[in-house]
Amino acid sequence: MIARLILGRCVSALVTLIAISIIVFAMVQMLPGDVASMVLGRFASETAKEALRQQLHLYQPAAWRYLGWLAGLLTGNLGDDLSSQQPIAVIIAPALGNTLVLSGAALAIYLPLTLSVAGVQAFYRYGGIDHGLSTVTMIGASIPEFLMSILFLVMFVVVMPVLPAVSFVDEHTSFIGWLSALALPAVVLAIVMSVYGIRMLRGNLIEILQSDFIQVALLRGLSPGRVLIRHALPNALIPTLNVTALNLGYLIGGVVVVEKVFAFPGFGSLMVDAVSFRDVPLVEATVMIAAAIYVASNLVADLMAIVLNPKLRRTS
Amino acid sequence: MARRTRTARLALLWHRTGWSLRIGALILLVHLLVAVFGPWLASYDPNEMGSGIPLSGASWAHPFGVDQLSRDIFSRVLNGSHIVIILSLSGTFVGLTVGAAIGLFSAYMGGWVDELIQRTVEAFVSIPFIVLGLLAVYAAGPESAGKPALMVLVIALLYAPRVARMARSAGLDIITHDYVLAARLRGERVWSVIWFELAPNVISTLIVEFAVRTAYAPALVATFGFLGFGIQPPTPEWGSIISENRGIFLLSPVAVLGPGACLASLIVAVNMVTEGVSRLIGQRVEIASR
Amino acid sequence: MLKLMFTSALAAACVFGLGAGIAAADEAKCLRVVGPEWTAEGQSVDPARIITTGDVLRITSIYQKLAEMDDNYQPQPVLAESWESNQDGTSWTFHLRKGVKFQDGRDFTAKDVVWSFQRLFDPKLDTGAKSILSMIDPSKIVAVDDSTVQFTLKAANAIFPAVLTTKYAAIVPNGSTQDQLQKHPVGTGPFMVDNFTPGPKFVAKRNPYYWGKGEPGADCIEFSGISETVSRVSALTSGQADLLVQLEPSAAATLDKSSGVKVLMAPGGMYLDFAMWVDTPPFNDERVRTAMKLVVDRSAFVNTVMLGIGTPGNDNPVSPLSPDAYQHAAIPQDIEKAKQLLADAGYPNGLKVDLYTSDSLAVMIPAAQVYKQMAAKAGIDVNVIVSPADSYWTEIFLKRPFITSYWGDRPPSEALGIAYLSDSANNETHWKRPAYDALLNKANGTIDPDARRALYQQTEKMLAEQGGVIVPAFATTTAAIRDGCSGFTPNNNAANFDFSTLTCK
Repeated sequence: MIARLILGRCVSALVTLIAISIIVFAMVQMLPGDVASMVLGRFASETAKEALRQQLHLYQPAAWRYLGWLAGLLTGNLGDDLSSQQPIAVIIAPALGNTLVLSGAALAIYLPLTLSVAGVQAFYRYGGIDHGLSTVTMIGASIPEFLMSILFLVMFVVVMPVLPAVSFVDEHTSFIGWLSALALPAVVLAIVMSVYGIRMLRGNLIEILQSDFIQVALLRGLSPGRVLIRHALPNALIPTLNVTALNLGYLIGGVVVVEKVFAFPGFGSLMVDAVSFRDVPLVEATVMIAAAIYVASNLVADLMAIVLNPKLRRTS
Repeated sequence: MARRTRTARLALLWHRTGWSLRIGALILLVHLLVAVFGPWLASYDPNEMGSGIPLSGASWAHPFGVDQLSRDIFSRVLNGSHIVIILSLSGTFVGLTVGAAIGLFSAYMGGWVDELIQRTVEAFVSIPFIVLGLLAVYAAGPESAGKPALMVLVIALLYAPRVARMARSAGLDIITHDYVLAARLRGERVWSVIWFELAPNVISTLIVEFAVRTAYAPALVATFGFLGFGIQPPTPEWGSIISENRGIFLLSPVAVLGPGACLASLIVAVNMVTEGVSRLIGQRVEIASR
Repeated sequence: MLKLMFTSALAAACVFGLGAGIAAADEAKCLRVVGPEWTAEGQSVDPARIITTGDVLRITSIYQKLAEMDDNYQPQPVLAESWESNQDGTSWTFHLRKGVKFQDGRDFTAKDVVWSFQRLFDPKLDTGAKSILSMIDPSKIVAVDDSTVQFTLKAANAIFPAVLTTKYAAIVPNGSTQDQLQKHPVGTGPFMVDNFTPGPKFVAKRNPYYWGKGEPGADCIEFSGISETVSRVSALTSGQADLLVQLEPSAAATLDKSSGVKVLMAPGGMYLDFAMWVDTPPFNDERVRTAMKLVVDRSAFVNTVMLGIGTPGNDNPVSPLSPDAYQHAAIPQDIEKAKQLLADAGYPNGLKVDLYTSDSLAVMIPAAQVYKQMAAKAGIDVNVIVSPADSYWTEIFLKRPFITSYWGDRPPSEALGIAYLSDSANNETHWKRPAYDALLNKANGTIDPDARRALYQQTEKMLAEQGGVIVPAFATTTAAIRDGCSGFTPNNNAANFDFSTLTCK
């Protein structure tokens, strides 16, 4: 029974991925601008441009090109980057690696932050602290990411020079170098994600804290703190997992703004630059990867929810 | 049971509102007044150059300072207020209508149609929204770039799939109800059912969804402006103003903090009102952005 | 639990602070140069292909040219020690510096020069050099001996050595192809790399064979780009960068007021222009064109768009500061005359035009807006259309009748020709006047400097008065260096960088 459910979810995810590949391919084809001019530069000779167009099979029907690309994807061949003629995997790997590390750091800050603040709010619910923190999170949720990034940059680099202005990382950066480079962007990302996570977790926690079995535990004499942590929190975490999955998708593709402000060489900027440069294979590869990560993390969240929550197992 | 007089009912309503709703509503009111009367209140024309020394900071004559082209920033903000509000409202409205239609349709049809639509919607949601927005802006061509109409469509494109998901799950909740079954048996056409039976019963969810999305829309437009493919200058859209002036932040912080505070306060106000109102009508709301 | 979290947060903060200190100390030995942009895409280390700032930075550190332009537009010897031409300027002979080696140890000889120039004419290679070097006959470049090269030109050119200072004319080893260079660039410049892979930073190390005594001033150099002004400025003031190049006016204004850094300026720089198609209504009427030029208040333009860091321009690509300028005072604004001219041309109630611009260069958008304001005073309603930066140069440039554009600083011969000759590939104003071509070609071929200057001045005057280009201002090339570093001067031509004497403590 549960295996069928899991299988069903996996198939859905696969279909979604295929739909994504079609959409991405179609949208990229719709981009105006002569690809050959964009890649080779406006001074390139007509013969060079024609050669590139032939190389990209631009005169073949779109459906044929799509299938060719899809086949390449499935065999792990992402093709070559148009401007530097390097295999795309080589170009993507460092950027993706950097972004994954940044995401990890952001999540590492996000989880304790969300848990502690929401926990405090639920514990002192409807009191002064709760309202105060709610207002803070509300304001935090209302500041666009780029504004928050700039404010943090100025605050911790100019006003209080404790952190580096630029978050450059490459294979030569030391561990300490990584930490200092990641500090600001990870904190900003963590805050941006947590303002939503906190509100949601707080709501769930309060709901659970008012439920019967919690009341019973309290009546039995367990301390409110223990009840909160050992009994309420695990139950409230499930919807939060879902939100965390959404956040992962955001982290991979949506952090372009943070990357640009802090000059972090990440996946988001690579994706956006690829679109600006009409580097068609790179655009298609990066967007597919970002979308695939999002779909995969959603799938994992879904599956975890099914496994952890007996009630959900009956729904299909 | 005694009949409640109108004043008594209003008084009861007032008591049930929290402080956050009252403050939020107040701030929103100020924003709406500024949107309507802003252009008259401004001391300078928003595009007038030579109104002051470039890059000077805050002063009585120029509360937000003067930008690089020696335009008064405060006047620009006042003139841009209605742009932000109209863009956000229309973009979200279009996105909501389209998304709700798709979501309810999918819920009602069920079966493989539902599956297909769901997968497509999921696909759109999975593509990072900045990339999707960027592709849409570029696909529209260099002539349309930066036009408000395009921004409305881009917001709608980004929101519609997310709204569709929400509408579908809300719709699924009610299609099992008797009145829907009755309508189907009566032989009512699909769109008739959606419009007359389904929509009215999910309206409170949709309204809350509308409010939540509208709150984030200004930030979305501002983010696109920041990345360079938003509303074209010299239109004083707040995000563009912040973006234009961020290079001179260190020289004149108010140039960014002023419009930034206005933008944030608008979003906060809408969020507060949304939360307060939804608590009143008994809806659970999550301030979600993506 | 809260206490635990608080303590761990505090500990983390301490580690970060320590890390920042250590990280900064770690990288102190490489010169760190930061530009205003960096693309992950399309990074080139082949001089035949130069498109972005990053390309210029990389190529000017690895390769060198025969000569380099100084701030007076005179060529100074680099790989060529001296040169002379025949009587009528149709043949030039260059005497190469001896004892120079490439970064892989082989000797620099005349054959390398021949190859470097001939490859620029290969139709399979993408290069903007062809139009700049159009006077060269590729089959007539000869290595007379190991250290002498002779060029026989298609037409007389009195200032050929100045033309050879174009950024594309860097010398590469004999026989190297683009594929080879893109992976293992080899030049004679102060810095080198063993292998090249595109990335967010470019790090080059000292060239052990470099011919300059005691140069370069550091063991390695690191290039990168930060598009966010606040981040870039903070990087310099906090010591994370040593030199910022190609500063925009707002960054220069901010750094001027900061301590610990110094703003450096060259005498001149690139120019902004608005290009009108002279063969398209309404711009085909010279009166309309003159009106469009007269509405500009040039010094106001410099003060707003460039925050004062620039010079007013006189509707031609030669700066009024240059000794070759036909007029040194700025053309004054004259709204009344503009209105009169428009009325004469049949537009008594004003004119409505579309002006395209983009943020591909930050100042282009404010420039268009300022022009709009100024033109409005004469009844010209300018509709500013901002196009996306990525496609501007392929979709809009040369494809719309009224656009915003810019050109780097060049010697008069190149500047007056690159966009204004009848057969120019970049003829942004569709200006085709045989009289102009003849005048410019005659100027280029005139040996006597005074006579040549007079001819250039006549050419500029013709272009300024009759042409379709509005040049409101020149932007001064600006850089900023932190205290503790020295040895860098910005050049008029923003694409000329010399890092060989840059040192930092």
